[in-house]
Amino acid sequence: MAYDPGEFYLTDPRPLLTQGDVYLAPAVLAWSSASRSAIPLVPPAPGEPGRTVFVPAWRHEASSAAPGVTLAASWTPVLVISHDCEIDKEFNEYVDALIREGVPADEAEERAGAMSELDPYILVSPLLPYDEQELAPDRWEVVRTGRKIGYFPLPGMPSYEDDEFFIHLSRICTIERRLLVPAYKAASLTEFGRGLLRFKLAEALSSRNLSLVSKLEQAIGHRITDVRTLKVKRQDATVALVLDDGSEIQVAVRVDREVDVPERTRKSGA
Amino acid sequence: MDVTNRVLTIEEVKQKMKDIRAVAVHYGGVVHCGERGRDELVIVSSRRWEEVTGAARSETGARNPYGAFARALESGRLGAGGGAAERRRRIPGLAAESQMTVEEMAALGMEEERPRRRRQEL
Repeated sequence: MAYDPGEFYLTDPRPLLTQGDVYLAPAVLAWSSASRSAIPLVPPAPGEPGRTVFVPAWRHEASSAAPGVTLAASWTPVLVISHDCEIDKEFNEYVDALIREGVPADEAEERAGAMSELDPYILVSPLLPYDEQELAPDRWEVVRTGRKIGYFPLPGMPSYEDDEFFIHLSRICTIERRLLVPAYKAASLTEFGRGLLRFKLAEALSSRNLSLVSKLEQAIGHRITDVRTLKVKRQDATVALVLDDGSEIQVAVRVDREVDVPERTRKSGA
Repeated sequence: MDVTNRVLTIEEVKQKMKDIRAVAVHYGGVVHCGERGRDELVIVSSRRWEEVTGAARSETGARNPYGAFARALESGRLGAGGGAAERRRRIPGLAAESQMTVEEMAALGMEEERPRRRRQEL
């Protein structure tokens, strides 16, 4: 499966900080100093994107209970991983609270917008090149085609010389929101790209169940929009899968005797 | 070698730094004194300095995979216009709390598959 970059990137970046945006920004990774050593010296800021500097997090003595830590700090293109709702959650809660107190909506938004302590944490992940130092070459194609769990492919960016990158979903880090500067936003994913990103995140970080649902949806040719338990009796249950066209499929399930399933009966709408 | 702790004059310090730098350069090294107020003088080889600062990649002539972004910076397509923060996304009534019970959440989140092998912790 090949991606058409036209399906993946908007012509112009979005105006708001959004999941799926690409910024030039810092990214950080903590190493054990036993794996990566660093000299106790503050290096100069990177002169160009893609540089990584290594610095000790603290002075470590043999008697320290805390381990020796080396921080690898990069200035690099990063992909915004945080969900849109998460990006401005505290801001919206604060605005809603002000409005409930009688503050006009415009003023409430202006006051909350000036509070930099709201929603300071943004998850990002560095864009990595298809380079044998980052990923074994025999894995490039399966990553590029979106089939490798734990990775998200970024096809060539038309505005950036069509260079391809990928995201390693174990390299996600947290940076302060103010480090994502609008003038350094390079690109934004389309809704197609963002949908794929959310799926890959769920697949890698939360639930293998997701892939089972996908398999089921493929088998029946529709999206499942809801699931209802219709009938449970001893070892048997009937479950209704509500599909995106409004129809339902009823599935008979044999329930494990050890599982405590609530007794509920409901008339089918089919 | 005189190792007594005596106070050096500024001129003596300057001369000693010249001597140290000359020796470092002679052996292919670099001298950085760190920040004002720090009590360490660190001398590293050029190779080590490149490792620390990430300069090694360009020095070997290897293509910088992020070159397109570097060129965008140079042209002003990226980075121009300063650092004004983006305005916030207003979503009235955004749900901040889940309506599910912890038991329901855990039941949905329980893994169906378990890894076949797990690494022993180091």
